[in-house]
Parts: sequence; structure tokens; C-alpha cells
Amino acid sequence: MQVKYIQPFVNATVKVFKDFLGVDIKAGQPFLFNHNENKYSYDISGIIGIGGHTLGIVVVSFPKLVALDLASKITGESIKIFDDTVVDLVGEIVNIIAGNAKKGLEEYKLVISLPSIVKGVNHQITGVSGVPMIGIPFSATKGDIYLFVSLKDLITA
Amino acid sequence: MKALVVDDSRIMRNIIINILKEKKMDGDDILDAPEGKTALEILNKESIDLLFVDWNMPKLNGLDLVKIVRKIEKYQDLPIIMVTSEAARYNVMEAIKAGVTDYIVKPITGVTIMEKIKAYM
Repeated sequence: MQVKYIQPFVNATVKVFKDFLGVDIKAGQPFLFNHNENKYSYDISGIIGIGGHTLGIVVVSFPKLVALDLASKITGESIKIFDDTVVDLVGEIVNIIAGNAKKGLEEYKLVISLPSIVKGVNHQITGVSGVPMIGIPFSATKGDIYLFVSLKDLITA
Repeated sequence: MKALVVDDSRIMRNIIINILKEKKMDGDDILDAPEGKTALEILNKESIDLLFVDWNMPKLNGLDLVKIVRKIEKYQDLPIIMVTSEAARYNVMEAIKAGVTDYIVKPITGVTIMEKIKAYM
């Protein structure tokens, strides 16, 4: 997987947090994710499948405190548990990131799935078999958010 | 004037509904649906003057909903605003071909929605 495929997702993530949630986040150093050495902490993930001229997944993972903070912020209510609103928000965030990233990869006709949500303390994420998964941390007020992208090499449409 | 907001995200529906209320629309005149099939039932039952529709939704997606709506005689001139994360130009072209009147890429702001709906209110 080439690095140039990652940048549109990073740009979209920063834009979504700024425009949708009013939060400034900055991308940290990308890393090659190894799920056997999972040292990252998160409690809820939004996952989008990517099809079309590639095969892959995009995942955005949040620690509980960050997800609750963002859900409270966007609804104006104090949300203290993983309810439907948090699930809805995480799904919408990953959906907008994937949809916006397509703009930066227009030469590859990508198709995105509906989001799926996984909850659980330190749950494990695995990318497409045999394809590396790149992780990018983003710092938010109450913890780090992680973007994971795993895409098979794209084929020009 | 009656508006219908179709999006599988309740948060997104509420954002659009609140913007419409800010435009002095009566809450009773703003209907909403979480996907296309339910929206179609509402469209058949009611007389809708403005439709906001997301693209990626379960059961019946927004693009297919628009194609069906355009075949209904009373809705041939209905303003349909697609509000979606699908930002690629080929998506915009596909939506226009299907019959949408206007296209807004998420994330949305109140200003964007206000600007777009001026012409239809």
C-alpha cells in the first residue's frame, strides 16, 4: 500500500473534526499497525469497507472519554454511556472521512459501505488479509483518536 | 411548506431540522425518515415541498430513492437536495443524472444549508 493513498484520509479526518465537531486535531507520526502488539487503547471503532477498484477498510477508533466528549459536544447534552447517539456519531464520522477521502482518490472509483461499529475495551482490529494497515494517531483534548487504513493497491479506473 | 429530511444518522437529521427551524419553519412541517423506504411511504402519503436526502442508507439508498421519486408525477419538479459524504465528482454527476436539484457534501454547516435552501423557500 502506497503512502499517497493515506494522505486523503488524513486530510479528511482533520477537516471532519474541524468542520463537523469544531475540534482542531493534528496528525501524529504514521505507524505500521501490528495487531499482535496492540499497545493502543480505544473502546469504540467505526469501520467502513472500501470496494470498487481496490479492497480495504478504514477505521476510526476512539477511547471512551473522547467519544463521550464529542457526542456531548455535538448534542449539547451530557452523555455518559455508549448509547445510540455515540454509535450514530462514530458511524457518521467514519462515513464522512471515507466519503471525503474519495475526492483525493478520484482516479480510482472507490465505493464505500455503510459503517459498522465495534465496541469493547481494547478491542482488536485486523485489516485486509496480507495488506498492511497504517495507523495515524490524532491528539484530542481527552485522549488520542486513531485512524487506520488498509487498502490493496489501487487500480486506475 | 413541508420538508422531509432523510438520513440514517439521527444526529444529521437533527442538525438539518434545527437549521430549518431557524429559518422559521414550523416543526410540524418538518418530517424525517431514517432510510429511503420509510421516506417513500411519507412521500406518497404527504405532499412534500422540499426533500433532503442522504446517499448511503440501509434498505433503500438515497440515489435509488431519488430515481423513484422523479417518476412520481407530483414530484417531478420537487427540489431535492442531496446531503452526503460522497465527495467525488463522479458521485455528484451520478446524483445529478438521477435527478437531484442540489448537492451538499458533508460535513455541513448551517451557512451552507441556508445558502442552498434560499432558492427553494
